[in-house]
Amino acid sequence: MADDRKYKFSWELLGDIATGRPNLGNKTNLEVYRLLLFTFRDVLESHVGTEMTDRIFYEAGNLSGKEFYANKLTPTNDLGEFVRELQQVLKDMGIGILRLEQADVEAGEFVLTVSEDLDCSGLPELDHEVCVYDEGFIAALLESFSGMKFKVKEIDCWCTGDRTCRFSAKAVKAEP
Amino acid sequence: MNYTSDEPLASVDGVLKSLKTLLDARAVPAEPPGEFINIDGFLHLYESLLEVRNAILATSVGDLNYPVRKKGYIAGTVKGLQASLRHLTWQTKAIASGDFTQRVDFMGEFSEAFNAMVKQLDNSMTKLNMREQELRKMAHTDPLTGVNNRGYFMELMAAELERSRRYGHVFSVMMTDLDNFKSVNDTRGHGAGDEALRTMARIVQTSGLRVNDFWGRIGGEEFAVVLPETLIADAVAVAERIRVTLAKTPVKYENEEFFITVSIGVSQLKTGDVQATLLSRADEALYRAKRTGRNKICQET
Repeated sequence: MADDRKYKFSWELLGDIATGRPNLGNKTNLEVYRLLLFTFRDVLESHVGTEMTDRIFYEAGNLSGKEFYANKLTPTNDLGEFVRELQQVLKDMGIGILRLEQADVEAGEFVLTVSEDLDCSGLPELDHEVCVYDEGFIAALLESFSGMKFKVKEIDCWCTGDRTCRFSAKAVKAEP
Repeated sequence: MNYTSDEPLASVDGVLKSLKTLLDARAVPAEPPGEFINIDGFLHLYESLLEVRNAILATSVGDLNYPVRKKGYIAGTVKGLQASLRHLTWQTKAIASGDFTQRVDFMGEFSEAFNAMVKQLDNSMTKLNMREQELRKMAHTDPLTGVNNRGYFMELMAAELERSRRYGHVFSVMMTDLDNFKSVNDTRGHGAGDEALRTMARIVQTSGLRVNDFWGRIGGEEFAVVLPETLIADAVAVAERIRVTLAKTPVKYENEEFFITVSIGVSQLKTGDVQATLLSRADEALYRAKRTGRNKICQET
């Protein structure tokens, strides 16, 4: 199966944007990002159903977060340094405004919010949270930082009428 | 039962009054008004307003964890405020633990004030730490020669004694005393005596001591040197190097040069030694060196 794959992600495959887009550069319209994201979601859901689509998005976000940590952040054991750099990078890249609400490193429990985020800020209200990709992304960031496996759940979302996206992250304890 | 337009307008008036109570009144009834709860949407609106009211009240008195379960613009805005304030709380705790790199950029004018405060704290703490280091150095250093003073030397020696007990190492001690120092002071003045002490300090400093060796000025013209994990024979060799170097190094003071010599006593740690006994044996050896001619080294008997 692995040998049949057409594409296996690596950071290098994002390409040399400066060379490839000498006039347009590294920016695009956010609508284009959302167009890509939500058309993918629509087609996937119609093919494999909602549950599997959510799983795929979570896993994709997880892969993205893992690569993002490895390529954009500085490894550290200090939570303050980690959060500070992450906040700055997320802001500089126009991804969102991160705020850490609660942090218990030893217990592996975090609550954090992302405002003005790429995926859902400004979307029409729906009956359900939509930031599954972000859940996986955040889980991978925390996993890369702490070395522990995390399960992340969105508990408030712009799409459910909230003004920010709030995520609860809990370390997955190994079975005794 | 759903509200219909056939019902009296008094019901609408009552609904508005009960909702207005949630916005304006100091106290609200424990239960929603029973006569309206079957009106479509009333209970949801009533409970949403009540929860937001309670959340704002809790936030206003510092409880940032009031659970807001309702959705919608106002509830979402309250959650956003909670998120900002909780993040600020976390940042403040980080600052309290010494992380002065924390900055806020999502709270408008407050951000500027907060960041200015943290920078000021950082500057003050940096100055305080530098001052503390200076004071600590001053408390440990002999101002004339720049070497460890007696108090700090004794602290270091106590620690070395403890280490030697723990690991079963021996170490040796040198006691040094400049010969005829009083006559230098009497004939050439105290400035010359001070320069003689500084010369002695420079000679010891450049005599090839190792990183773990330490020494200090423990009296007027007395210096002591501790050589960890060193047998007495090796310590005597170091002492000899110091003695010979000092004897041929001129002390330069006010366009004049003169020579001084040093007598040295050496002892080695023995079972049952405490600081006083070890130093006392080195001292006895030193005075034997003095009595038997000066400019020489004696080791404990």
